Amino acid sequence: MKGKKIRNNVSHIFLLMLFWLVLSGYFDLFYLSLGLISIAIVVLVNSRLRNYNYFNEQTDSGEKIRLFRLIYFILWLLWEIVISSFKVAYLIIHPKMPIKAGIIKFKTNLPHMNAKVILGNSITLTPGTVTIEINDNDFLVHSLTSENIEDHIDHSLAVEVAKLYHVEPGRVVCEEQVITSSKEL
Amino acid sequence: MIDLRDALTILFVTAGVFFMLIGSIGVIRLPDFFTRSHATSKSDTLGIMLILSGFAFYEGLTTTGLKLIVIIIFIALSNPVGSHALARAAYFYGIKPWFKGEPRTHEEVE
Repeated sequence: MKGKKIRNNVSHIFLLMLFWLVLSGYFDLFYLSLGLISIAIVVLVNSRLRNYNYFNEQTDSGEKIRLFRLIYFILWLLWEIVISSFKVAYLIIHPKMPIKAGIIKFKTNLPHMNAKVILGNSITLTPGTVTIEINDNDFLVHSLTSENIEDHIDHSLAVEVAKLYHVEPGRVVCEEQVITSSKEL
Repeated sequence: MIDLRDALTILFVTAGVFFMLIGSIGVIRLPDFFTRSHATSKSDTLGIMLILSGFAFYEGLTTTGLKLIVIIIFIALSNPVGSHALARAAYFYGIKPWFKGEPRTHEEVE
């Protein structure tokens, strides 16, 4: 636990130093020392906050995110965003605006909180879908076209997020339910 | 003679402006709060990211270019959080989503 704390702080310092260098652009001794002083203050103030456990469940149960998979995931997500942006652009420009709004409920069995946050953010980042609520394992997603989510959000996105943590995840999404009228709400 | 950097800049900024325009048209045309939040947050996220990456291509690998990349990362992380918060607040406030074949709620209020 102690070693993890130190590693956490060291990576924090490294990131802040990189950020300082990018923002200042000077490499003199004077500016570097100013940066080091500010970083020391920031780390001191934030160390308790960073090591605080916000959720009741153990967020770091020894499961590491797979770094190379993360790079692949980001590129894949960018591509998905571009494709679905064009779909949404078509829907908006089309004279009759053939949208078919709907709310999708589904359950996931993702390993822990970080994975759910990544999935929620990715769903919102993809045009055509917004995460409304995440409650434990239940997701509530609003989508512009309900076909949209049937074929590509529910399965591939959640599976990709699960693959960030496990090489071969089992079934990730279950109990899907599509609501397309206010009576069913 | 246009070199590759200028061409990339023009391409990316034009695409970004296109998606910003789509977002603005969507805000006017779409029927209710939730569908509008799709247009305003999503198309705009992509638009801003494309415009800024066009600028970053123009700047190259200088500190200004790196700052632009930092801004792109920040937007990519914060924009979905913001639109999620808006949609969640609207949902719990009791705004009913619009469904196909139903009247637009805010027209009834007027």
